[in-house]
Amino acid sequence: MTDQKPKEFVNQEECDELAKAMDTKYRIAMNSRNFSIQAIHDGPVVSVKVLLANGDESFYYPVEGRVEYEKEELTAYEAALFLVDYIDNYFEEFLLEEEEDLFLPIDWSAHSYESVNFHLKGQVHNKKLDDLADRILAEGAPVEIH
Amino acid sequence: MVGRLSDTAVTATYDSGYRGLSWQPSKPVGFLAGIDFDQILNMPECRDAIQSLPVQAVYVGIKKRGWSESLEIIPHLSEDQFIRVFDFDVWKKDEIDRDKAFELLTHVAQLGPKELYKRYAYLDEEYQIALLSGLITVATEEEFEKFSQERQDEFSAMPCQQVYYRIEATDDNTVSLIESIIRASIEYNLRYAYALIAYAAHSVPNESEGQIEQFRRARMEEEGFVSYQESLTYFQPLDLVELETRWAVSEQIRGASVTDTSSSEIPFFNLTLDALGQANWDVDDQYNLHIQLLQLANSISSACQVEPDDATGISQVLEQCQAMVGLALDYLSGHSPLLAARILKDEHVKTLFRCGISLVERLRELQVSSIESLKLGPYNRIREAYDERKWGLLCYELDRHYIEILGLNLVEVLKGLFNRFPMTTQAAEDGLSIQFVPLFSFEKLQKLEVAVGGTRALFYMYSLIAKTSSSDKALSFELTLGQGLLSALVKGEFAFHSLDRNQLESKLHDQDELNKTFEEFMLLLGKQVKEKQDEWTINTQHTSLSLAYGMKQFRDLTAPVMESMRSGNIPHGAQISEVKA
Repeated sequence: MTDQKPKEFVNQEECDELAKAMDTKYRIAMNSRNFSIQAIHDGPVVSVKVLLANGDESFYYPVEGRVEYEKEELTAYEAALFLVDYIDNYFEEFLLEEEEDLFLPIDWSAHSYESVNFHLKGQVHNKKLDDLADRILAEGAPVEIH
Repeated sequence: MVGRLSDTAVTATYDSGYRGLSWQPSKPVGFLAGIDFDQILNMPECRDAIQSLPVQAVYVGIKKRGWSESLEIIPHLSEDQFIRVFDFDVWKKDEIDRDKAFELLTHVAQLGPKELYKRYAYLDEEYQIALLSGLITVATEEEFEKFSQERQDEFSAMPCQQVYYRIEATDDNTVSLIESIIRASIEYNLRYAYALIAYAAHSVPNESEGQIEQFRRARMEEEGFVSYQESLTYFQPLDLVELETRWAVSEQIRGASVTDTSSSEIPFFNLTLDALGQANWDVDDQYNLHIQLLQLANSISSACQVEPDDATGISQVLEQCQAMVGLALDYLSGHSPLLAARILKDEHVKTLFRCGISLVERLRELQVSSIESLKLGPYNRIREAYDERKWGLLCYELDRHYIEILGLNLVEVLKGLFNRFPMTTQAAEDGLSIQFVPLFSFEKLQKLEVAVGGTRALFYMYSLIAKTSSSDKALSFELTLGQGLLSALVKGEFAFHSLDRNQLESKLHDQDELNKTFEEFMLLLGKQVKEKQDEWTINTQHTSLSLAYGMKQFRDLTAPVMESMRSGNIPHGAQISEVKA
């Protein structure tokens, strides 16, 4: 019998698998959008970003969570999966229960679930328009004043 | 892997039948669309009108408005309706969700103590006790006097000043609500108030909940919500011979290809509804039909893991049910809405639903047999999942293991075939992705037949090549087809043979000759496969269409081979025999 070494942190392959599972789970409500997940371990903090976006990024909704995992008596790996689980729960309400006006605060807000304290934020963007605006500003297009 | 996104959770999503594949459900209609309570409340006899409505429709209507906007409706509900609304709303799986119950009662409390007392006292006794169980502590005067001052301050006195109670909830809103219930009971029925707190304080934990769960289950069964095991029986195929004999439309008409495609995007069930008037259906008949259909959806909801309070989920299940019923009607009536209206009057919707499922069964068995005989991928798991009718697991296995083998398009066709509610595929509006469409007519079933026949034709082509291989190992599907094509282009043999490098390279120099050889080969292959149609075709009426489908899949899967050749390169993965100098 071999002892399995505890996992240190989620790798990108696992994140991609989880994103694919979310795509399947909410397929009926996806409307050409897809999930992608990133997890970062930065010192005492684990952060997770779950992004729901369509192809041209006219709908671009990143939901981010962060937790000081040692304070919450979690390993970094457990903390990442905890955040993904919670954000998945949020998206279930957002997508399947058709509460697409159920938005998170755009700045970090404190949450608690199953005795774990963490922060969440999220903001819907139209990144396609944002990028277009940035380009226009960068190119210094003349502005007409009437 | 996280619990909510585990393989089990994803398999469960597929197993639901209505959530795992991308299709476009319509907006809820009929009883599930919600009720115009504003109009009803303006009627002089609004109480009678509300009490005559089916309780599920009332519940969905209230939920759509929200409880806080529905306060004026609550007093008009009958006792039975209120209890049944409770049955719908305050349960999660098979357990009472006390938070939801208290939320509902908090809204009722806004109507005043009389309404609160009336509604609470007329719930089943078991509900009353289960909700308060463990949340009230009662003390006699003797016990009370032994408490410290601090503890005494936590108790409230009953009017007799000889019995004291304390509410044990930690949430202020819950404490406030329970206090309201007790105060309302004291005001309107003192004896009842004493009995309530005594029973709540001394009840055996979970005993009342266990009892009310049985009563609730019996009432929900009246609404059509049956057990999971019984729900699964709705998906069992039945023997079609009896139905076909009873509705003796000639075999030729029944099985004929649907040539009138002008209404092909209209579900046949809707065409049948349009014909009800002509078929002498009166208003009561139509009302009963909608109740029957709603009960059918309710019955199936357990197998699809839809909770009774999920109106959207039930609406989507209902749409799938109507598709299957419509498919059966289209088939049995030979595409005659008028005859279908007669059939609908005489046959139970459950029978028609199972008839629809049965029409797909043969396709499913043939496809599983094909995969099994070719030993493609984890074919044992596919057979096992099919035999056990584990549709979610089957779709999950297809997703997990067969995209690499067969390509995305074919896997989507197979997932639609094996979905709990079988569906066919079509290109989405963006032209990039694949959408699923319920089998709402015989024409849609025929489309699925063509696709399934086409995949069997492709599997037949694969088998022609695979049987020439001397390897014991299972061959990669795409590489095998590619090698077969290369062998045909170089040596004129559609087989799995290693090729001489020089011979292969010689074919790369003359592109015109290569393309000409390719097209000639495709014509020959098509002819050969058509001659052997007995080995793969499902319905001889669709052989040509299926063959065209299969040939297209072959072109798509071998496209990388041809692209490499046209670029002047030996395709990746080609089996080359090096000639020794």
